[in-house]
Amino acid sequence: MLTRKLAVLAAVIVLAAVSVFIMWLLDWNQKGTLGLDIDLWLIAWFLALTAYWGLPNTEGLRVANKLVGTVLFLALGLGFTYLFKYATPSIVGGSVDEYPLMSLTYVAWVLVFIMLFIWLRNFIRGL
Amino acid sequence: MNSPTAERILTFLLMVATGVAVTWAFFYVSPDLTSATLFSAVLAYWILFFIFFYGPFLGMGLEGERSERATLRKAVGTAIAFIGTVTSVTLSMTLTGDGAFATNQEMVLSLLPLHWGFAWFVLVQHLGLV
Repeated sequence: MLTRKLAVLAAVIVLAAVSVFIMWLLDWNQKGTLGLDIDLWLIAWFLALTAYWGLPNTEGLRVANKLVGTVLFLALGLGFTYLFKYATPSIVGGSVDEYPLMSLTYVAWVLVFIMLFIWLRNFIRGL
Repeated sequence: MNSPTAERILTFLLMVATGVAVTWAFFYVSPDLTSATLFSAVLAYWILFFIFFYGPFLGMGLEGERSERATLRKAVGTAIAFIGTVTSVTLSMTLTGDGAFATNQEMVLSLLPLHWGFAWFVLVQHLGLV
């Protein structure tokens, strides 16, 4: 069990590092937000792998369902990030060009959907 | 529509509505926050908090024990977490001054209570008060 727990911990760290690297490649990081990005991605993947996937316990795990759910929360996060990027100026002013916090916004919406799925799976079987 | 489904839909609407209301409250007290750069992130974090608060923390929309004792325990846990959050935020801002936590002062004002709130609510849940 200890080996499994360590494997999950390693997976969380690797996934967070990959996520931050992708944010950097996309130029979504803003100066000074790297530290926040790293801790938020660590929280996001920790929640996703333990609370949502249920790891390290693999008994009765529906891998295909969880993979679909994972793609879904990443995609929904992306959709809401762009939705608010373009809708926000009409709500609170400002400009679409002045939008330096894309990485923080994306991980925020991803966290929203991870937490929502954790709540929903209590009464939606298979999620 | 059966009762559990209605309760779940209402809970979800409450999660989103409270998140929007708190975000707007912060924008109201701080005009600096009404910038396009922060609105989406702040809104998302508050909705995230209220999904956690109403869902996994209070257990709304979930099957579980529904007794006066459970309700009282949740009320006490929530009160402790709220008092802890207010105390922590006040102490943080008094001891270090506004804007000492990040380069972006607006984020501190809006997200400081959120971060402390999460810490206190997770602590209370961990202690078994909820």
